[in-house]
Amino acid sequence: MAAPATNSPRPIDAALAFGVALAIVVAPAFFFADFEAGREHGASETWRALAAGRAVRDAPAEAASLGSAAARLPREALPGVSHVFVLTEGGLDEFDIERESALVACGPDGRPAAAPAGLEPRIREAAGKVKSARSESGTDGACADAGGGVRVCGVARPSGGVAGVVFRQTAPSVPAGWAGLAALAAVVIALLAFGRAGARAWWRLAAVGGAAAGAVASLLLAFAARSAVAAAAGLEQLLAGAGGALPSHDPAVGWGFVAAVTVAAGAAAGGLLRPVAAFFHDFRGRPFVYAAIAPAMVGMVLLIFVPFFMGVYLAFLDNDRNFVGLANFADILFPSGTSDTNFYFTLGVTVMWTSLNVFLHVAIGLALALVLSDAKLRGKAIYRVLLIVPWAVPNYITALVWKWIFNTQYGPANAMLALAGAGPVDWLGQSFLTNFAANLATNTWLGFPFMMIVSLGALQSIPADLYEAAQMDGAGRWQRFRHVTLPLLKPALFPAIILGTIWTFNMFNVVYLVSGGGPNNETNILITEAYRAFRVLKNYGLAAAYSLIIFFILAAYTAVTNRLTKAAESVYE
Amino acid sequence: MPADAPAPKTRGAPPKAAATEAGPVGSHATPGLRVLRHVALVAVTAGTILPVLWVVKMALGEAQSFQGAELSPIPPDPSLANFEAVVGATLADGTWLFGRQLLNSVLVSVLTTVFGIAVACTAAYAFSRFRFAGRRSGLFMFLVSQMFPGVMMMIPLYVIMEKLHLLDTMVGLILVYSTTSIPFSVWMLKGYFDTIPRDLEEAAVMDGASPARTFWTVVLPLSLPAIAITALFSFMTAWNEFVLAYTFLSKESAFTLPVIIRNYVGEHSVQWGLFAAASLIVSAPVVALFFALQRYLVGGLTAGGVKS
Repeated sequence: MAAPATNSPRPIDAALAFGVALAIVVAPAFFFADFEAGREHGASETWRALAAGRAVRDAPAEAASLGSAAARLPREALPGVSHVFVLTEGGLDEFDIERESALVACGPDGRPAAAPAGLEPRIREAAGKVKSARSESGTDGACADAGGGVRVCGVARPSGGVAGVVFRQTAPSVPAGWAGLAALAAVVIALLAFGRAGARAWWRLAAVGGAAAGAVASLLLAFAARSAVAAAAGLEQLLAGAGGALPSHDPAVGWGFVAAVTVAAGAAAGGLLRPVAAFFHDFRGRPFVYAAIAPAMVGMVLLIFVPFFMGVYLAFLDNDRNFVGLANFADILFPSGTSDTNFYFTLGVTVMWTSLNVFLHVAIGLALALVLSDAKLRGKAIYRVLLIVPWAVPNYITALVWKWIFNTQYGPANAMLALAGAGPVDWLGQSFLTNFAANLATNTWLGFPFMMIVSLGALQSIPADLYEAAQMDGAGRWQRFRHVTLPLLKPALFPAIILGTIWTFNMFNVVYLVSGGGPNNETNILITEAYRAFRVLKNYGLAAAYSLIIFFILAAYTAVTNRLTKAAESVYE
Repeated sequence: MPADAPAPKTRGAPPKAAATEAGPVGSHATPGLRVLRHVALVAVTAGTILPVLWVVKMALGEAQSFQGAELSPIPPDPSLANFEAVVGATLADGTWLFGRQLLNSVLVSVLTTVFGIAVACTAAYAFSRFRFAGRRSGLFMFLVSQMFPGVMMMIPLYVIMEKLHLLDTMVGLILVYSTTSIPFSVWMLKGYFDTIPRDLEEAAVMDGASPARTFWTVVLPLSLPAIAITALFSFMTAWNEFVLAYTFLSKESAFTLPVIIRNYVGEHSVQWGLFAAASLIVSAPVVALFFALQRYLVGGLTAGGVKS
């Protein structure tokens, strides 16, 4: 990067940069604290709703007795309750079949109140969930969303049927205002301090100030989250007699959280200060440059980076959106005997898949380019046009066509074998090798034209005099290729190979559509395995964790190859 | 390649001049070798083209299945029934469904290309010509974004599209497609702009032209080959994309053409004839564009990589 202009950033730039760096750390900290408080609050609310259901569980299913049971409930324990209900034997059973039943409902004060018509199906749905929960896991309560923040929770009654409550969810209050105010104060102080300090002291000041601001902000957030949880736990006490052990609350917003945010804020403020200050400085000087890149950057950040980070966040949650730390990654990286695929096997297949494909693409593409680059070759325009056809055909169509080619009964692949006198092969059947070969053949057909065109372009840019000179020096054909062509092809071929490797590594369509991972997911590569976790296993956290691992592998690969070849490096300048 | 373009820094001369007699392999090939070369080329080309011919045969054959494994690419009993079935698809109320879907595809692809190229061109020019804070990180972000696995983005993208009420709309698809194609476009165009000598622009700047005007009158006309190729890739991204369209679109009248192909390849029964006909219809425009622009492919693609 060129030095950020001649004159150094001014205090205003530094202070703005400090604010940005702080926001980068404090905003996620706020979301995490808010999320933690919300999760604990939600779990508590569900527990209280089920406890209320237990309190009215044994009431006889008549409006009057249900009313008196409901009236005894401490109303402040679950503020949002609109109805207490008993559903006598019936509702949906565990096979989703409607059973004969009667619904009795009343208000939380014990006065009779019919459940609104729209809620009745939700109550029955919750009842169905209670029953399947009891038969599956032995728990006696379950909840269903009724839309618009309304939830229905019910517990099984000993005499059959389900009792429970309908309530509107409440939100915990994490007073983030104080954290925001603390951060703002830090920026104002920074503005004053930077104005006085010499330029050299800035980064130290920023690091110390950022750490201090991070500590204050994270302390405030941690306390806010904890007090929200304490409030919920206090409400639980009111229902302690209603049955069921009190739930434990263990918010992750503790000293570790405060320490992490403090360190991160200090590091961000210290490390990001200069580049961001330089950005603000340049921005004031040449706004049109930033205006030119703004649309592309905004679009990319909103529709590529934001979804990516949302995906990262998903990787740490289970399907009920509980924070599970690294459990999803552990499931992948330490495969137990019970899971049906092994990450390391899939990784091995992926590496083999990628290297074989890229090798074949480059070998075939380069060979064809060498032949086609001869000016004397007749009809080379026709050859070239025909040879790039596979590139032009949409790859999912190619994949489906090749799936047909490898069809056991009417696929041309077997017809060709028959011509040679060999028996039919069940290509996409139970053998790993034939499935893999089918995938490989498809992708080779698909991918070589790109390498051919890149090689052709690179060959054309090699000045002819070099060959003439080499020839004069008595270099043979092979020597010319080895010492003239190959070295000069490198700069064009390396970026293409890196790009081709990334594409092949993530070549979802071919593997998914040709072999479909068969047999037994053995030919799956990492990306199709991630998709399987998403579509088949419906474990979104696991799918996201898989994808994140793929990303890290590719990022590491690119970083290493860049360092080794410096190929992409030159493009920066 | 523009004939009047001053020779860029190190980009190759036009194709014909470069591949001279003393080419890497060619030079004084004996007649025997020459024949051998053609035999090999014909074999490879036939292997490349045969699957396409089989698809044509399949499309001209029977609708339901394709029985009997024959290698001959000539259809025994050609008929256009499959094409008629695909093109003639209508909704219950008599709307011409295929026409609607074709229009969707064309609009989405063309607007994606126009929007994506406009945005990518300006960004690439700034990245190529100016040194500013954040330039390197910006370029790096474009590169990194290529490595994000699509599976991971699917759920969040769906949520975002839902929040913005862009599901089942063309605008949603256009926005997503153009942003996915922008990083690649920016890198390619930047590589090409880098090879255009600055002296020309400096002359324009001396005459008092603004950066925008310099770009429009000097750089853009010289970059048409690269822009054509980048546009081709943007168009292909949008025209061929299937997974996101399949996820975001639920109304049949909002489908793009690739989605309808999915309908012919069911879980249990595959209507190979209709699939083949639809595939040919979907592929035809892209292949035609590809052929029209293929002479630019060689220069456009490698410009960034081969400069010294």
